[in-house]
Amino acid sequence: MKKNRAYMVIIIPMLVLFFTFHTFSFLKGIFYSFTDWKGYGTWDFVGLTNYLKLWGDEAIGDAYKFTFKYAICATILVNIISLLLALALNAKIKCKNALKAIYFLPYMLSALIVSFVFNFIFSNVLPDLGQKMGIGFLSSNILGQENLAWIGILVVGVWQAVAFNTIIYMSGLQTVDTDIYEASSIDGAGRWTTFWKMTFPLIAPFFTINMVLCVKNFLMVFDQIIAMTNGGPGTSTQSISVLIYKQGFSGAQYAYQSANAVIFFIVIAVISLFQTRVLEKREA
Amino acid sequence: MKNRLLAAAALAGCALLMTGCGQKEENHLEIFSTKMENQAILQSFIDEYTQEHPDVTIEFNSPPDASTVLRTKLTKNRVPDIIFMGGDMTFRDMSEAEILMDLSDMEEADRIKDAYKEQVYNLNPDQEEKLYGLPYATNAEGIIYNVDIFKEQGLEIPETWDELMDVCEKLESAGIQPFYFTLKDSWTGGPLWIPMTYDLAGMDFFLDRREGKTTFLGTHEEAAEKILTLTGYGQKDLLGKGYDDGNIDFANGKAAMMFQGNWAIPNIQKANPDVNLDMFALPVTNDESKNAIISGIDVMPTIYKETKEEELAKDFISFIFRDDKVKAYIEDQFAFPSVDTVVQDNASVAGVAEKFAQGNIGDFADHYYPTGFDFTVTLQTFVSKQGDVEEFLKKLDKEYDKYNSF
Repeated sequence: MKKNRAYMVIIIPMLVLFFTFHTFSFLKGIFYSFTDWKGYGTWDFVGLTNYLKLWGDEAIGDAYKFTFKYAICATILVNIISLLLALALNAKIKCKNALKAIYFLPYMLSALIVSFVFNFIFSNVLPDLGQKMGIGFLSSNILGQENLAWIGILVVGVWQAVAFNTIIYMSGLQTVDTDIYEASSIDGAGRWTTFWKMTFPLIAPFFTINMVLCVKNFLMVFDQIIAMTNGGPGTSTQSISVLIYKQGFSGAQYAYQSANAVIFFIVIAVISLFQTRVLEKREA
Repeated sequence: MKNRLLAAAALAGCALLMTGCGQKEENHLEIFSTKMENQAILQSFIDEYTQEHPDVTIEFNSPPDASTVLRTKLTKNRVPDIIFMGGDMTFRDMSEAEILMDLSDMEEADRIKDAYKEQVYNLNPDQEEKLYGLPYATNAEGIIYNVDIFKEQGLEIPETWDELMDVCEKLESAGIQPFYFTLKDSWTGGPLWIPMTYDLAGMDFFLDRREGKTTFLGTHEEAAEKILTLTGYGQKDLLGKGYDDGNIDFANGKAAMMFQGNWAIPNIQKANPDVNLDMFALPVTNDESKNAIISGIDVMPTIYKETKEEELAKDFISFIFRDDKVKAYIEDQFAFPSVDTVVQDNASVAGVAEKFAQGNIGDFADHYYPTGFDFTVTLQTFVSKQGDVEEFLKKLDKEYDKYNSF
């Protein structure tokens, strides 16, 4: 009984905080998506009007296209790079611990600060370099070019996300019993076969986690864009989160963008569930 | 023991709540401002006022993201007695919500330039001639130029479009870049578009467009063409630099002119204190009298309709409208006065003084655009592609209609 009370004391404040600041706001968002509230003043219920309007909205379509393009490219890149890094850091090399710490550093920096630093590099350092070396596409700020700006954001997103995924892959590699490598080398397996047939299947659960986390995080990309392009040039790097934020608050479309957010939530939830299902099946 | 702790916590909670809904004291003013840049000078006015009137207490708030804060205060029905805001969409929404007091019969209203009174009227529903706020300080948008470069090249301030083209040609043949653009931040396209649309389409267009009687297509071709011409005299990488980076380059003489407002001057001078700057109005046409200086209401006190301290609030507003206070304010802020009795004579803005003296003042088009319609984003794409005029104007119409129907 006493023990129970101790649990309660710990859990109840957390539950209250989580409910008021997370669940309650979320439910309120859903509620407002059925109204015409601007974020201030009076409002009326409008039923599903907001949801119906979403379908024809070009800005939202463009935002989805950009966001998915970004999320897919970033997920693939991050997983390849971090798996390679994890393999390298798991091998017998010098200064292993120092290197591990260095590769983890980007994760500890705030996304905003990293973006401001890269913003400076893209607008001041790289164009100078490009002009001196005569590289055409680098000689002007790539964040100012509609067809290239998303690559700038991709670079920053990947650079920062690799750190955390590397750690997960590394912990995965450490769970693999070294005995099996001995066995496979006795059977005459080469490096590639060992990796593909032995290591990778054994760290498959970690691959699943990384895929799900990556896709979810990259679909919600926000900080980097706000700090680097603010959705521009034009609307070429406007992700769904940025659109919801910009139009929801400064554009007085609070209710309409709440509806957009609800749909976006459903999309992410479905993708995450689907991924876990498919990838878990593959693990077994 | 435990019960006592609980009781203490409950008491503390109640105390917190009480301060929230306590009775308003006598002679107490709550003042709210939506502009952070002038916080220090407004605070100094408040201090002087409370020194003169020791029985008065004033609470002053000037938070970041003020218009959102103000809107939440409104939903909670806790409206400050005096609200300082710009002549912008926030004011328009407040005026529409009918929560502001008509200040037309205050003595100070008579001293305010007609052009600014017009601007207030135009923001009211149905352009009703009532002053729900008294314009206090105003800004100016035009071309900031590097005085030293102009002197070295023997150039005069251009008064017409042809003269401006002439200046650009001369600068280019001397190997000097005429304009510097900072279009990576899309909002800096505003000073390019706003004088164009005012001088070529005008106030009537803004109001007609709102009612759907006209479109950008068919009225703004010349403006769009001229924007392409002007950006042709800028750096190759038009979207390469943002506002802050660009101001540093401009301060160091990388180009002769820049499209900006008076608010950029302190920022540019910070990067190079020795730079000599001045401003002139963008000469959009060849008819000098048509080329207005774009100036809007930057700061305007308003009073909450249901305030319990009407007399005190009005007295405070009269206090800051004294000539010496207005003078102190505009000197501190590089701003322009709304009243006739004070003149801004700082050399950094001397080039536009004549337009102000003539009363040749134009308004910001975007104060009449629907909330959420961001023309600068569309303009940014158009300029970066040096794109098709018709496509650009059609896109503007489409976006405008989308937000107008919300």
